[in-house]
Amino acid sequence: MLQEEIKYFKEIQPELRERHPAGGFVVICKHKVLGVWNERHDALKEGIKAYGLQPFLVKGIQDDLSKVINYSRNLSFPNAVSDE
Amino acid sequence: MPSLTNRVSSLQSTGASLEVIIVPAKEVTDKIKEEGGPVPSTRAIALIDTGASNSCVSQRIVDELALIPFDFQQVYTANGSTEQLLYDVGFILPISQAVPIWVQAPGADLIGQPYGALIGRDVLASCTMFYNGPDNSFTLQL
Repeated sequence: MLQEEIKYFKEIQPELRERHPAGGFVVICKHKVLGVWNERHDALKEGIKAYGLQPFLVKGIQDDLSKVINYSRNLSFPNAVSDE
Repeated sequence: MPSLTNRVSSLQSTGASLEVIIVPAKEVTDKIKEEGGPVPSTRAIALIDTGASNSCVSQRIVDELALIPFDFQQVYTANGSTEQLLYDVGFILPISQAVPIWVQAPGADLIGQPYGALIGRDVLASCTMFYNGPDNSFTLQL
């Protein structure tokens, strides 16, 4: 799930950063950018209005993709997007 | 300020755990309500894990609440690193008076563990926690 949207976001993030230097949250479904909103909850709400209750990507334009979630315990995840 | 104290026979072996209610994102539940459907929620035992930067929910809860991923992030564990889908969920603590603490959490395989979720430092960012080893108790305050 969301592989296509994640790949597309990574491709267009530099351009989005240039066009929206103040940041914001982009909604992407497949290869379509629905729009950019200042608040995440507004982006999520508009995404649901447009696409219904199905997966789409809501991502902070200025998000640092190298930022990580850390777990000290040994967890496994059945829905990995990708292995590093 | 609302607080709870849980006392167990051996806090060292069981860890600090509590029953929570987990709900999908508010925007999702608003849409479900608009369509006239029942708003899903589930109760789970959650372990407070100060070694977790973020909370996570079990795959059972992802399936039960039909959670939809809207984001992704790199996740590091002792196993290495993977990119994970994130689910918007709310944790309702017994002391939060039905007001969820909203987080974005990956779905983890917690099979074989007595917990449905881990409460990480994202939820703890809203709380004060006192771990009283000699008393086998912990106190959580909002």
